[in-house]
Amino acid sequence: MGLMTAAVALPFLMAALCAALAGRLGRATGVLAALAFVPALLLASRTGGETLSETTRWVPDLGLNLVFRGDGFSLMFAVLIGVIGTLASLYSVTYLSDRERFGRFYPYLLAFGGSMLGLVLSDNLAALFAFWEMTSVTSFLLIGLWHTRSSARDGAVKAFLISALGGVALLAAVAMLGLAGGSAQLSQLDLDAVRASPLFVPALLLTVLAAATKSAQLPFHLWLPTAMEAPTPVSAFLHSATMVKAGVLLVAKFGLIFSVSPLWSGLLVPLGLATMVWGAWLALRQNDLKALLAYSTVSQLGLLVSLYGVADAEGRFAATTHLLNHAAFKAALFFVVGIIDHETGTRDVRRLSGLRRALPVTFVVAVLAALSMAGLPPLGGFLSKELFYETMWHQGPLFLAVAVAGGALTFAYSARLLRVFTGELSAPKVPHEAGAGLTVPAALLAGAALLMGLWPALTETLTRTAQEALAFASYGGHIRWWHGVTPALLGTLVTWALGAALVWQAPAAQRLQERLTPRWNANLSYVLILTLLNTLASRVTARTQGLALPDQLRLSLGASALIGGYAVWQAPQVLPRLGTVPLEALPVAALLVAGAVGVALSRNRLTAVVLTGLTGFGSAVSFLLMRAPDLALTQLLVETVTVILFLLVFRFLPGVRDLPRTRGRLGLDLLLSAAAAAGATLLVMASLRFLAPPISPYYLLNSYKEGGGKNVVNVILVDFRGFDTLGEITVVAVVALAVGALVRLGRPGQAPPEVDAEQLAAPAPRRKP
Amino acid sequence: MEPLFALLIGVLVGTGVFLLLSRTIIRVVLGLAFIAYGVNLAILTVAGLRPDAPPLLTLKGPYVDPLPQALVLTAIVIGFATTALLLTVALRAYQVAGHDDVEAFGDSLARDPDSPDGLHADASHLGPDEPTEAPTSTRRAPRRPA
Amino acid sequence: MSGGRKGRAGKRPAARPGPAARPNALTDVGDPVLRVVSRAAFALVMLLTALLLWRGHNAPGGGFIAGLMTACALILHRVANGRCALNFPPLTVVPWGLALSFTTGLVPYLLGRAYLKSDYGYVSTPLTGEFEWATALLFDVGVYLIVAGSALHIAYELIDVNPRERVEDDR
Repeated sequence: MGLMTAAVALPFLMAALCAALAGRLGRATGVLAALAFVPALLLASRTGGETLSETTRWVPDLGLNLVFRGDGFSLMFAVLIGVIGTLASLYSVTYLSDRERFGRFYPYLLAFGGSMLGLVLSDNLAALFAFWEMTSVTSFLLIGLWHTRSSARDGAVKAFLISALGGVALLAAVAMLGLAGGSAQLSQLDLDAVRASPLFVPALLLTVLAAATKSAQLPFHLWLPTAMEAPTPVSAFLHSATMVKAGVLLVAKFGLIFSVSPLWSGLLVPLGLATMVWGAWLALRQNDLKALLAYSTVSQLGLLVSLYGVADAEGRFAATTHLLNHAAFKAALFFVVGIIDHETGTRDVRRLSGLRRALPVTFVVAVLAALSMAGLPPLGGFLSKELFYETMWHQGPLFLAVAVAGGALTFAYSARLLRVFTGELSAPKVPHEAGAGLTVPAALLAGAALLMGLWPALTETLTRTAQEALAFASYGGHIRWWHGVTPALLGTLVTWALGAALVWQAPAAQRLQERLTPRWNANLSYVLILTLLNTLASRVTARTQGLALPDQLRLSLGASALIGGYAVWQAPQVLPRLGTVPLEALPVAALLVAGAVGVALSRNRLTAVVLTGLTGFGSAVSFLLMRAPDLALTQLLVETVTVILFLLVFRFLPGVRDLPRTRGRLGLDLLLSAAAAAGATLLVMASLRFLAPPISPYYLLNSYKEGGGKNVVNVILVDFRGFDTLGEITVVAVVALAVGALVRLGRPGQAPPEVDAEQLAAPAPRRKP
Repeated sequence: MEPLFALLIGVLVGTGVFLLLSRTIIRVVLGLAFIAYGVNLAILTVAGLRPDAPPLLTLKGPYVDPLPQALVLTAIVIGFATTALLLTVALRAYQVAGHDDVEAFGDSLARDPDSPDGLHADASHLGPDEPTEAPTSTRRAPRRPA
Repeated sequence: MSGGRKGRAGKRPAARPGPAARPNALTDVGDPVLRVVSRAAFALVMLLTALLLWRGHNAPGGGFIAGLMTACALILHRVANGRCALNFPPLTVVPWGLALSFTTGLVPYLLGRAYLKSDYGYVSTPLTGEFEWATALLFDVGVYLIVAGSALHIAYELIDVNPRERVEDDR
């Protein structure tokens, strides 16, 4: 097993282990969980080398293989996931309360980590989609972790519905790409064929939809803030650093295919910039620190999408740099908010101030991370923001203007975040500095943000590991502090000036925000759509499925009768000659007909069940006539057991009398039965003509050679078609469990009635035969 | 022999459908069992009924087609399982509803479209693994059929 | 649901209580003839079952048939004697059967061959002559366990139905 396969598989294995051991280990499970990311971290040693490839064959005939392809970008992303995953697991050890269900939290977290690693490393399109969906599912589980809160459930459902919409789009897109490109592997698609194909534009649009839903672009940004119902380590890991970047990853990787079309940049750059500005605008008015960070993540994702959407070497270089920076500072900020929440019991900006004295380490970390987010030197965010402005300037002055507006708002909300540390100390409870378990992960990330700023060459080296994979090796620019007086520098200065003005005039800005609040927003539309859908579904179901069972069946049978009748009317029937009727078949026929007619007329339970048994034995004898001894034996035994079961159930049921059918229905039923009888007969007659040679000679010839048995039916069951049998016995086992559950459980949601002692003591009345 | 069996299959399926449309729940279960008999025979019949040897290689060929036999063997066992499940469902439905008239079952499906739908569950609802007090008010006396 | 569990525990104290504890039909059968016959038949049927299972690969028989036959025999025994001949609930063999069938399939897969590919061979001893073994038999044993366990479980559950809502007469 290669390192990449191990990196993907180990989190899933450790998830099972954590689930098993959580009861014993308690909160220490997190340390175990962190180990799951070791292979992902080891992938760092492989970056910079040539592209790795590992294949695990599954269904080669269908092109379904687990192919992992470790190019520079994928490996970089995988290491990023490993780092944040490790830190989030360790942070959770201290963060979570003692009453948390560790046996759920860590397995979900690790399953997410494995899916995310699979998503970034997978080269196979089908596997890419599968991992994409698995991240949606695990994210759903993690958002809904505290499922006793209705807001957590609503948030989980919202996130899942929106990302499932994107998942469907992605499935269609990869299917189209696979069809057009003639390969199931992303790296082996025939790009010329894809670009010439009529499926190109639909695939492009669907990819944009998938990326926009996953990366919370307008108008799908609404799921990310409610996803903050998840515990803070989860927010830091999934909803800022990794999963939400899956859409960005899609834009980056698929941009290599789609960027020839002007539609790609024409859609993504405006979309990204609009999301950036609107997200920052919304972030500025949040009072909940976590909501502020959520909207800030929306904004930053918009920035990344617009940069990758530009789809030239410069844009990709800038985007990759910012991707690294953002992962560092945003995860650090989430950890900081987690610490504040943990130590003060609230995340409300209005109730917090002056925390710098009580939480000095956290304060330093928060300042470093927030300044990086605001794009101030000497932090990493400054460098990537310069690159961002430079790229946007090359798109046009208007683009730069929008970018600067977004940057100014970012500056302002970063300052708003830091306001909780300034002024007089005020908090719901007296805060103390958090332990090393919480501060160290945050400090490490903030340190990384600082290091990337202080050492531009390091940032450039890190960014350039992805240059082959994302085709920006040709980009000649470098990350430097000083590029000379450029439009980007001017943009930065304007950003600072505007941002400072917003901070200075904060009350005025707030009033403006309140005045500009739109009446209508995406969340209201979401609720409206959901309500409409629910109502529609309920109405349709009530109208079409609300009939009583027999009427419903009559409807279906009538429809089948019409369709079947039409087919019979259209197709000329070639009935085979009557053939000879062997004498020994006649008693069997009599048995079957007598049983059938008898049951239909019977009003007595015992008669009915005996006659049913008679029919069953009749069909067992027919099997003998048809030269099927195995079937005859099985039918005989099944019939015996079934009769016993019927008798057991009849002890409690009120007989088989035919309740009078409502007026007119008896005639209809007789008609439908006759139609069914005629249909079955005609179908059998029509099927007697062989249209292709039977495949069974293979089984007869190979039964002994391949399966080592002389009873061909048994060899087919246990060997040739063993998989079917496996499925079948599973069904039987499940039915056994279901019967047990049905018999044992009382009415759902209701405690079974009390049985008083009197009733227990008295012998149950037995039915006299 | 095939046309004879085709007719028999017709009789079995027709009876099954007639029983299936009854109002008594146990007749519905019996109806499904009869349809299953018919279908099992049909699968074997359409493979052609020839007076050849059973597919046991210890005998002398030619043999009849073994594949439909394997399919039907599976179908019989699955049919047994479904019948057992349906019987239990019938029993429980009778016990819960207090009668065995399927036409009077299932009114709950035609629910009010504007009623709460579970998507937006109320906050007081607690999860299945949340420690709760034992339910006291929902306990009802057993319903006895008239 | 906790109330439900308590209520049930009150009614069924042990895993399979003796006839005295359960006020149910089918437990107090007092027919000595049936009891004697069933005991004799039981041993015979179980022998026949083993034979059917063993020879299933080469002659009519196999896991399904043997499983159903075992279930029949045990149900008869239960009906005749009012208690189960097994000292464990029949459902417990079902997972074992599933595991056996799955692993028989898995072994060739792990050895690089198709899933569920069977293997067979011959062993010759002077006592028995040529003697065939096949991994398919293991698979069939799994089938046997599941079918027998499930059929028995279903029947036993239906025997143990709580008769609280039973109607007295319906004719």
